Amino acid sequence: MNTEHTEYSDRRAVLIARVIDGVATSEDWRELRERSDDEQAVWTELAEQQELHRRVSSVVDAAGDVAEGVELPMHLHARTSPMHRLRVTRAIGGWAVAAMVALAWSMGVHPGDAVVSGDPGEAQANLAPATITSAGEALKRYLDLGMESGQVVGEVPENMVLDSRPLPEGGYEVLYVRPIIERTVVHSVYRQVRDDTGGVHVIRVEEPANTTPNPRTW
Amino acid sequence: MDEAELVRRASRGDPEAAGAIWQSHRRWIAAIVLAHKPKQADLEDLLQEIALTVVQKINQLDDPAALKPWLRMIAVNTARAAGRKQTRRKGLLRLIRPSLGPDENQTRPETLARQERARELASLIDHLPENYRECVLLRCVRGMSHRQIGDITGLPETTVETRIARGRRMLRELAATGASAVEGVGIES
Repeated sequence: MNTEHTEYSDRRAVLIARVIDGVATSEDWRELRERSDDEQAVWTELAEQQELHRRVSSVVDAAGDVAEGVELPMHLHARTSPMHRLRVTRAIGGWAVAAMVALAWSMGVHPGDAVVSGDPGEAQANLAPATITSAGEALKRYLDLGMESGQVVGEVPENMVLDSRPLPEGGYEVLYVRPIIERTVVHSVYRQVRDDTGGVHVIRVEEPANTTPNPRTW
Repeated sequence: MDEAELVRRASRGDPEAAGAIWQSHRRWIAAIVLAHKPKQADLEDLLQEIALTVVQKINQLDDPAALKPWLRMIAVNTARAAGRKQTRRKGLLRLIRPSLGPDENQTRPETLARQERARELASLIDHLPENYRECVLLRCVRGMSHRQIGDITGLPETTVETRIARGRRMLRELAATGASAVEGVGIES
């Protein structure tokens, strides 16, 4: 496509766009009419582009309506949120946390198995089947007991929606992941390191000196 | 209160100021997400994620004049990252879906026809070069001028106008020839 034709074609497209947007001046209209004397196709193009613009606008409008329903989660504001502390911890100690969890799993000590403080048996004993009548109740008990013992840090406020679909009998089925953050303590931590040749090695990380940890408040 | 003052207050932790900023920009943010998100990614999920990022990082926004490009950058990054997350979610769904019943609503003729029309249009839009797509969609946001689109994208008004015009012309050509006929269409600046 030569430059002259590109400019001619662009000019026509710009004039049509101005008409569609309702911003065409009398000069623009005059120029478009002059062109339409030569090419009836201009008016066909205008009509087709207008129809497409209408359809695209309805899609954008619907997206805007979805946005109208989304509010800022101010309870997670960076200055005040306990979740922010968690994110900061993760950012600073990313590999260490990952290594700890990986190690716990590799040793067969699942994060859910280890209770940080208190007697694990006591926590389980409190979960007497007779007192629980629903999954929601069981989960609440688990969260309460876990928080009490230090095993559960908290529940992530946002669930991850996997899928949703309308149901024939009414309502919507929503599939989601409900993340719960647990805490565990291990004494052997390994990390992956890469040497000069790109080879990956696993090295043991020295256990920190016996210091009194800061109390955790979430 | 002008927007610069709102940004200053929001960055100091004023939730009402942050809320006001979000409310006045979220419609065009949705258009940006549409322009960059993978087909299967859920718009509302992405907007929720963007809202969360705004809340977490607005205290890092020093220059009120940078608000719109900053919001755009968050929207673009979130939409592009959605492709990777989508793959993970699909994997999870494949694991649990067999235990659930069939989705009868998805097979109704009217639902299928509506979905097909929406898919066709989405496919046309997807085939536009990315930088045209964004300008074309932003122009569809109620009352958004070339200057405002320029403020968001950092482009001169004349470039915005040309991209919209070319993008619409291309969309019409795509509709006429079928999106597959123009795979790999070149990007003009």
